Amino acid sequence: MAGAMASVALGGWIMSQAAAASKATATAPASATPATTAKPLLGPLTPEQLAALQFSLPKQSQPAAAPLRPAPAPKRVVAAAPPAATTGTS
Amino acid sequence: MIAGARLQALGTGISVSVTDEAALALAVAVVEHELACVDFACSRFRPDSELSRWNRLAGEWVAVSPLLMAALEVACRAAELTQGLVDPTIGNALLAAGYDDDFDRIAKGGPAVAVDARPAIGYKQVRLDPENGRAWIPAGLSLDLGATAKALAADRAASAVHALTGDGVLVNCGGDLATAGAPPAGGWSIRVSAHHADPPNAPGETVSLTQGGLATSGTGWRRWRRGDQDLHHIIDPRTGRPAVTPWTLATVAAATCVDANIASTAVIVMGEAAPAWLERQGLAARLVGDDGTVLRVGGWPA
Repeated sequence: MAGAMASVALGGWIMSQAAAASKATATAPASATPATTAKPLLGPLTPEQLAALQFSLPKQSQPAAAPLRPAPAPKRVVAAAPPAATTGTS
Repeated sequence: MIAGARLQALGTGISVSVTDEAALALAVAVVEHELACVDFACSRFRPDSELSRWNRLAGEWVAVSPLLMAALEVACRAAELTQGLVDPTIGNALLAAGYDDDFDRIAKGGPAVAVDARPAIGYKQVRLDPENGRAWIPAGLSLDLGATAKALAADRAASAVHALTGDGVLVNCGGDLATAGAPPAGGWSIRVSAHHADPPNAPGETVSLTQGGLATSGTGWRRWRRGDQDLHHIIDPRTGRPAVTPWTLATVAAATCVDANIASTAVIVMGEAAPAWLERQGLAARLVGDDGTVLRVGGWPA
């Protein structure tokens, strides 16, 4: 009896998680690849399946951005000729 | 012999210099074309641009051109490298502050505005799918690429001119400078001043640049006042308000104009921590404090 109640409670939790996952997918599609069709949730899941469900929520994975690249520092010029360009705010 | 030309694009003054006078006409045509493409892809101020269309379709996956995708990737890279200090998701904050058109056309006075004083949603909410040529932002979000698109345009234009002519070229997009090819003897001579249209004798200094890019960000020019609010165009994504900063001007040299511009904008938002951050990045920079003091870091010439 207790096991059956636990299954019912777990089933409700699964439904809520599935709904949350569905909502999350609708509002924040982190994966660029269209999601594969999920298998229907039938009955209580094993702890491993629950863990897999939780971690199957889409995550954004992007390679780390290339760092800023320095260049040789400019050199001071004391010249009479007008400069080719001016940097400053626009 | 160095030859140059000036034009207007992207809401600012543009200059093109080449090491061979015979290449100037082609160089100008190439630059005009590149900047027109960037404007059509990235402008927040024209309703027919790709970015404007995408902002209107926020909440849907939208097909984007390779150029807009490149600009979005640059903007997100800027945000990642600066821990969100230079972030494209500040479009709504800029609109709320009154920056809703080309700067020349926005109202510089008038009643106070309801500044959108909330942190930016953040670049991590922007989904890019370059393989399928599509992108997504949450409903209600508005992107602004102003912090990086102009520098990207300068880099692209300089590279294109060099590829087509084989000559050395310097493209200046409103103070964001990109070079490509062999520079003239002694390097490109650049005046570092408060505004990109300042005359050569305006306060500042002259340096030479042999490669890479140079960019300046500052709070002194794109400023306006609403009610008792003093506003400017560099938004701090952490607050949604114009950045409060000890620097009025930051000029940075880097391998590309984009990298220089990312750093110069980050400096303004970062504030006191900027000199140490620039040293860690290995970037040469010239910072002007709000009291006029000039600080040179990372090997910037004294």
